[in-house]
Amino acid sequence: MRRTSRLSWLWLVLVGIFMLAPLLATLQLSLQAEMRSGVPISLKAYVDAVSNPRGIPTFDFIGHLSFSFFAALLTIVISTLLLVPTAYWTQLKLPFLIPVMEFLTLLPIVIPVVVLVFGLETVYRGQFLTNSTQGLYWLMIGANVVITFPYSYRPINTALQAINVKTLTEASQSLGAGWANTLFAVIFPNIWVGVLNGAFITFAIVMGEFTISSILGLPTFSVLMYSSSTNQVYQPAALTIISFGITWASIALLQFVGRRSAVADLAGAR
Amino acid sequence: MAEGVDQSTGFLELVDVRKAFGQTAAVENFNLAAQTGEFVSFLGPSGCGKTTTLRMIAGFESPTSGKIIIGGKEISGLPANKRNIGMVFQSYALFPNMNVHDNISFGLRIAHQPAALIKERVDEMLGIIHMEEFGQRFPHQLSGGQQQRVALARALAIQPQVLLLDEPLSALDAKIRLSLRQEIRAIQRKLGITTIYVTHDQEEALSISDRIVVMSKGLIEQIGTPLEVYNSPATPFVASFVGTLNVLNVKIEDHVGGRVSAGDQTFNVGKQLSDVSSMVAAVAIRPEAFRLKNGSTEPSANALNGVVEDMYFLGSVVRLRVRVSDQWINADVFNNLHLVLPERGRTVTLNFMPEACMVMNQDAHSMTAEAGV
Repeated sequence: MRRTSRLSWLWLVLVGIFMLAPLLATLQLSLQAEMRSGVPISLKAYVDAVSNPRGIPTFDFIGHLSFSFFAALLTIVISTLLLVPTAYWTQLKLPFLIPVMEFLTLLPIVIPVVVLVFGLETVYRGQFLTNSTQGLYWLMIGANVVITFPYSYRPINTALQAINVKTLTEASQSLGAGWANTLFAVIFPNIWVGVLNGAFITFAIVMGEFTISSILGLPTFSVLMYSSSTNQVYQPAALTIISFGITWASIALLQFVGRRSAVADLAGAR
Repeated sequence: MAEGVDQSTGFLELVDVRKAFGQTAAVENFNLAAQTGEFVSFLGPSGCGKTTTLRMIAGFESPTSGKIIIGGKEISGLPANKRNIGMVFQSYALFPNMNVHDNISFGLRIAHQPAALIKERVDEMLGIIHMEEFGQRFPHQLSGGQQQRVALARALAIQPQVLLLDEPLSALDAKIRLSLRQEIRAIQRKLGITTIYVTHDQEEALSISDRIVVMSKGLIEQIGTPLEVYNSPATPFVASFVGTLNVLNVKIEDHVGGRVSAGDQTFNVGKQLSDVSSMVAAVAIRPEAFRLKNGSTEPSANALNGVVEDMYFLGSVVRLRVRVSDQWINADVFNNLHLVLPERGRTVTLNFMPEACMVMNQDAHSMTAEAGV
């Protein structure tokens, strides 16, 4: 038993090193901006990443970050408005479509994002969605909704399966509520944690998404990271760490909200 | 058509209602007229169509054919949320995200009732279910019985024209079931709401109903008061499903005189058997119809001798399992302080009145009778 325990720890340590070593190396690099000046650890790269001291027009940290941030929020809103009613209706009235939905959630994982983008560009060529910056923005949002579909749909679906959707719906209807009231006053609050789960994962994905935005030429945070890596050394590393920080903060917030918001026992509805 | 089929008019009427799922008819030829304030139970085994019928009244299933009428208005085509019918579910179905107050007031808020009226109604409902101090608690903080009371209050708060209860006590323990069913009946009587109650528990149906609709395989077997259904079962199914039944295979000795024999013992069934074409039949007798010989007997009472094989203490009743020839009879004896029971292996004489015999025109083995504890 002891030998097994030591072996288990050994594997954990090895995997940990494998996972963390590149990140630690990046962190180390991001702190070495003033090493040649004799300062071994410095936050200069972080300060430069945010403040753009050279005044490079395309290097707009706040602009790129807010662009990605609002794109992520918009993706979350559209995904939620689309997927919650879809998952609800499937569970309630069309359970035979559940396997179909399960299959559809695999497609965005299987099909390369670059194929998706080129496909969209080809289909919508010559139309508003490809002819203007505004159109490209909405094309990006649509593509984001597709690539985050597996990660936003599954938590919502799991949350719906955890409550007795049919009985709650019937109880609501027996009290005079229509579909909208039932969905927003009864169902939605009881799957809130699942919606949040999907939202934060969506947020993390969209914040770090590069392929779609670079092909469409849009100024996202990941594009900023890439462009800075072409002529900077330490700032890309700093931006990478910032990006990881945002992602981990999202996950931590998810855990925190999930623990606080979950109803202890969905009494009577399981 | 089954006996007791209700063709009269009433507040809640189901007229020739039928429900088919594909080729299978879940409910067939259902006719019922429930009066205002009447408490009607749908009783039957699982799969008999009682819940399907209830759900058609609620609007969660559409009848394949037939009409459902409430207060003279046909509601068959109305969606569930437009029928003003309160429903209590087996699983309570309280909204987990709302406290007791909000659960009860949900229907009133949907109807955009004034805040003052909502408060008044909720307070009234909390008083009716004796849970005045529980308004701020959430469903997961309540016991099963409390949750079901809140579910009842929620259904009543909207002042429904009909109240539907779908096996509301099935998930509760025996003691809570007993007290809560009496409470439900008392509240229903006080408010005078026409109520349909679905249950597979015959004791529940017998104890609280004005009338019982006994169903089997989608059809109505009998509609009647608890007394009628128990004492005068219209069909072998009703006889066997409601209450415990002894079923004896007998040979008919005298069709006109109504004399039959079980083994080498004969007795009278109290009616002519001219309509029985064969020489054999099944005779059903309730366990409580028997008296041990030392009890008071009428001169016209039948007598069967048998050997006591076993005894079961059921609290208020002691059930004797007696072998009569090659068949068995369960005889119930009321428990009392001075009760003297025969020993196992002892021969006893069981007296019973001819009128207690129910003659079935079929072999006992083909019936769904329960001839034991």
